[in-house]
Amino acid sequence: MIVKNLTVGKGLQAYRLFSQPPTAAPIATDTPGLTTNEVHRMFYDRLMSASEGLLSVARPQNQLGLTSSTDPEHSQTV
Amino acid sequence: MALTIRIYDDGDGHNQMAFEGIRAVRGAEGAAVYQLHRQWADAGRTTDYLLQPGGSSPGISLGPDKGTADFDPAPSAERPQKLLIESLDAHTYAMDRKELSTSGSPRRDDLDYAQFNVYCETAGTLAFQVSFPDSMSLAAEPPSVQAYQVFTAGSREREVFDSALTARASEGFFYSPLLRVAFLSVRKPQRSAYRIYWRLGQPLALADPPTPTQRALLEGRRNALLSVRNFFAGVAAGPEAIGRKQKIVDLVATIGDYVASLLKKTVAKTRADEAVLKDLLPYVEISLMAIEKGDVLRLVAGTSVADPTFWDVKMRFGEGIAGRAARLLDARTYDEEEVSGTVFAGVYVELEPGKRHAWLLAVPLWSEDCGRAAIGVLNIGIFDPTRAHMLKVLGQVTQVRELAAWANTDFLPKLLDVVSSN
Repeated sequence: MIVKNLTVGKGLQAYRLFSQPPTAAPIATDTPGLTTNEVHRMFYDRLMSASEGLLSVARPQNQLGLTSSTDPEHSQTV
Repeated sequence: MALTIRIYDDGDGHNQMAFEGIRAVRGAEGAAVYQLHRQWADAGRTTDYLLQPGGSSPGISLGPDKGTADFDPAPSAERPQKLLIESLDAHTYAMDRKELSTSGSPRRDDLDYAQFNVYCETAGTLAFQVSFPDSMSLAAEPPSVQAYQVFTAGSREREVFDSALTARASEGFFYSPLLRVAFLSVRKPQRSAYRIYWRLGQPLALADPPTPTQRALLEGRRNALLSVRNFFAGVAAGPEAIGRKQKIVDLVATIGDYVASLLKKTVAKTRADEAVLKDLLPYVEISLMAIEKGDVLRLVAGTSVADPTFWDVKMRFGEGIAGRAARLLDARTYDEEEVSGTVFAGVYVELEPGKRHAWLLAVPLWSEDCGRAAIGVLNIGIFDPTRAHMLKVLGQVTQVRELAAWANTDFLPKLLDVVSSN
């Protein structure tokens, strides 16, 4: 089958992996052009942006379908 | 005329229908259009038919709705043709009676079946076979066949069991325990339906049932992970909730950090490769899913979840890539490039019509002290096929192992701590 089964080993042996102490590799050290801070900030901002997107969907709307004038971000649109 | 169903251990049924020596096709108004068999499944879902050109005569194409086969030129006695089509019943078949009882199928007993209907075809022989995977638990009672007469009342079909037809069909039925294949051969079949039945056994890997402690821990952690959804969607109000949301998002962002670090040490060792990685990262999508009651996966956080079609999705265990990872406690990948044009593209569930990951890795989140059950799923993927190749490195065994270890022993406990802290 083309959709791959990625079990590392078979059966219970594969899952013992998770009962072991953390074996996570440390975050790679910074190099010019790609710092861990930049990467982290980028994902943080994208997640926050998605979260804000959900909030905007949930914002109350008036009967014309426009965002309420009490919303400072959109007060000019009403 | 033949239908072969190969059942895989994911519960998918790979259907292949072959028609040999087609001498006539009589569609509406004399067109050489063959109405393909309607597909249905009690559980999971069916995919569109795919034409296999290698096994089909030139000039045959599927109609726009994939429900017909159009013959051009029309077949004739002088120029008989052949047709080979395939489809996938995604996550349709249960591997044991326990799974069948929770599959969403209306059947609550331990009998499962596959069915083939003969409508208006005039065929010399019908060959119908089903192959069962080793991972399917079959009871000692061998598979069997039952035949039905089919009546159409308006747009509805009714099937009535026919004992005489069943007795005749049984003479042409054979099951090989060695090959785990059930085979039915019917000479000059009339309008009827044939079902190959099999009785499912107990789960093969009988894990110890979860202890009360494990159940309690699992429920608590599932609920804790699910509560991330409220923080991420901003439902929880107040400065304390906002502060906790920031902490949660900060932690979820470490998934991106870890992905970058894994790629960096694996494949981006030079400045040139690092530039490719830098270009890739803004397109990497990460998401977390938690589990609601009834083994339904819900998104709780992610980089591209703002669209309601994504955020409101409910995915059952076993469905799609994430559902399979959760059901099997096993990391799963999906590679659009690899499966495009095959029935296996059908295992992917489009959350938004037409939008598909070019590549996706789903890692189950779980903890042994909760028993063998998923707490949630971590998804890492990309929609842009032109940038997918570097990300696919994460699908290698070593990288999956590292990522799963980090996600389950470092990331998940921290996240649950933050969510649960007072």
